[in-house]
Amino acid sequence: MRLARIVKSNSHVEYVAQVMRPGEVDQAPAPADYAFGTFVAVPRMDGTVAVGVVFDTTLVNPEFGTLGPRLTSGAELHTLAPDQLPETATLIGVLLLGSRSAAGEVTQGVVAHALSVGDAVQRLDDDEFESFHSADDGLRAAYLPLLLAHGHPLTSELALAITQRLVAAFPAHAGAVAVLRDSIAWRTRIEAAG
Amino acid sequence: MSSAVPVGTTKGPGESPHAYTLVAPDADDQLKIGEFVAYDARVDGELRSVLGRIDARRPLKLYPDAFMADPQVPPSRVAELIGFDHATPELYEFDVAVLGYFDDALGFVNPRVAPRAGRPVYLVPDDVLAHALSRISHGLPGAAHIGSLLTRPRDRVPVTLDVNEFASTHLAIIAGTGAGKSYLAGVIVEELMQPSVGAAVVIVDPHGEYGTLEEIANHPGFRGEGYRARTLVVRPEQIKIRRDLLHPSDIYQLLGTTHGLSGPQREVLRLALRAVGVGRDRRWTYRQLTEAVNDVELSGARNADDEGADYALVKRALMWRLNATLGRQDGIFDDYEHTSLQELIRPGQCTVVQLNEVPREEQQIIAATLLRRSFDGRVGTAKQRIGSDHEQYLPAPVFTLIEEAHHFAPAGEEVPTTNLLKQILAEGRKFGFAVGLISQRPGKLDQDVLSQCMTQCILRVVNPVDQQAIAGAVESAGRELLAELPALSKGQAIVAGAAINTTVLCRVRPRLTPHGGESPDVVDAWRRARSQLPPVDRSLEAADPESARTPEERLFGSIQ
Repeated sequence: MRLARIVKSNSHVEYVAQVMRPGEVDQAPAPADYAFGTFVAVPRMDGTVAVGVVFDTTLVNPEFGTLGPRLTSGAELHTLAPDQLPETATLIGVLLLGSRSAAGEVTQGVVAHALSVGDAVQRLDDDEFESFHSADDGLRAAYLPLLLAHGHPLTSELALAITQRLVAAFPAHAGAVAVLRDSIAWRTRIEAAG
Repeated sequence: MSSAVPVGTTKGPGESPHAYTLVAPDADDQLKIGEFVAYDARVDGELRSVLGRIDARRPLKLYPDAFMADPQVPPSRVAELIGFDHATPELYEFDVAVLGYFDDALGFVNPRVAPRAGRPVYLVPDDVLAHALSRISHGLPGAAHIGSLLTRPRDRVPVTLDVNEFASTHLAIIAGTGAGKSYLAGVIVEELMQPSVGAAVVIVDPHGEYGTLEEIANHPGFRGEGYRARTLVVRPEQIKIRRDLLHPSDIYQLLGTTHGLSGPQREVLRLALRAVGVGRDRRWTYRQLTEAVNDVELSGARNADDEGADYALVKRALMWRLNATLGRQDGIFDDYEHTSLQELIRPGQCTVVQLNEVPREEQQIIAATLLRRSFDGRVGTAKQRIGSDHEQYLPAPVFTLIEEAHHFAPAGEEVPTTNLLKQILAEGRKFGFAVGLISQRPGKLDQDVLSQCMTQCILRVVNPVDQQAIAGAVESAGRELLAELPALSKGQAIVAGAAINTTVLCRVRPRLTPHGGESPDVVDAWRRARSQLPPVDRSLEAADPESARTPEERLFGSIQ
């Protein structure tokens, strides 16, 4: 499912994507489709797929603050200016966590090649999520140190959300993931409040 | 050395001028405390391998504590999960005491400069280590093979003591109960009885632990061309010393240190000894001495009545002291019988003087008399004052092992053997008379005595007072290694001092003869004793009204 398109980047790994609006796709994505912690894929021309996660959402509304007198009401505006498009948008922050080659080889951590403006952002389904985290000897989430070092206020919570999902997806490795989750939780919740 | 695989890298100078720090991952746990490592350095234009001993180990990089929250999940698994899959994630820093490069003539020569940072460090090969640690290589005459280096696999690096050194500058074996001190002493005696050594050994054995050394006489390992080691186990009643062979100083010391002598008593004794001719090669009996005491002319006693002493009482008190020591019927002193020193002490013979079931005071008297006479014999023989026809003639050096040495030279207390031991420790080397002191309470052993034993074998010691006493008296063993004392296992020892080139951690070798100091099986003894008891007569319990009452009733009376 196509969720959004890349419109901007803040760094080599942090991108801003605009959520598809009604009319741009058959079925516009609902907020649940690009919820906090949703894993996404960005296919590229060379056949590789960048994998990222939604770590932030921003609503853009140009009308916010324009509270001056109006000549027409909102309903009349559609009749008087039919070519005017609504300019509100939902932007999501995508943090790249790795990539998958055309042959299916997964690399976690900083991706070598940057994305391009206009690249389509798709939702990663459960199978792809598990495939991205599967290693020869089980589970691998080598991007977590990168994510925790990112510095955004929400990344710790994002890491907790991801570990929670990993516990459910990889029950055989739940013990190791739980140790990591508890360690992050202690640092971000207990020590931060203490 | 440079062809070996490096195990670490020098980091920089250590806390002392003769130490450096080393950083290593030590994935194979090779760099144990007490292990020997080396780096190559150019000293005076020549490439040398500078040896050092690891004294301390600190972690530099460890897994976070939080990774160890679940005992069923190893921290390495958590690290692997987040992409850290290095085989050796930990990193350690080691303190290394520089010993120096080894020179056959000079021993260890310290280069007096710390290694530069970044030098590769190697484990010292076994053969190099075996050559450098021991003053005499294993197998050569005069080498006492007591075990192997603890940090290497068993028997890879033999640890040997230089017999010439410890049999002249004295030995101390210190250990807590059950750590294996009498076992190690047995090993050392075995080495002394080897055909290549054939020493004259006397063991003062207050607990009867060394009787099993009798096996030496039957063991093929103690036979050589024209040589067969002998063992002689003697009980106190088998040792007799003729009173008229005693020197006046023996008698003063015997009485003075066991019971104390007042000034008047000493004066009366002096006159009596002079009257019977003690110390002048004249025959006398105990009866003659006691008569002489009674006959001492009080008026002739110099300053005898200065303090108004009642000389009848003085003589009675002196007689009591004489009867309790020199005159004991069941003691070692006799008017006619005499055990020749040459019978007890001869090269190739180990004499075990078993003093168990003998009161400690008497043990001290026997040990003092034996030590005094044998030491005098060695001094007289060495100075050619006495000839081969003399009863005390001892032509060969003597090594005396004293178990429970803290009973014979206790700290803060004087017993008959104290001053004698101090004299032997100070002068024995000149006359070929050495002692090996064995103690489980170094804190109770006279510190002067302990500090004069120039070779030390220290096994596990847990008591902090004893550890402190060792640290104070044993200068050659580093404090860092002494910190290992409580952590040593049975049969593991720190060996330091003059008879070895540097302090080592040693695994004591197995004995050739059976060990006699095993702890008794108390539970088995109880079980056997129970099975031999007659059945309890229950009718007696029923007849006793007390036995029918509960313990509470016996205490507080019956509740009405």
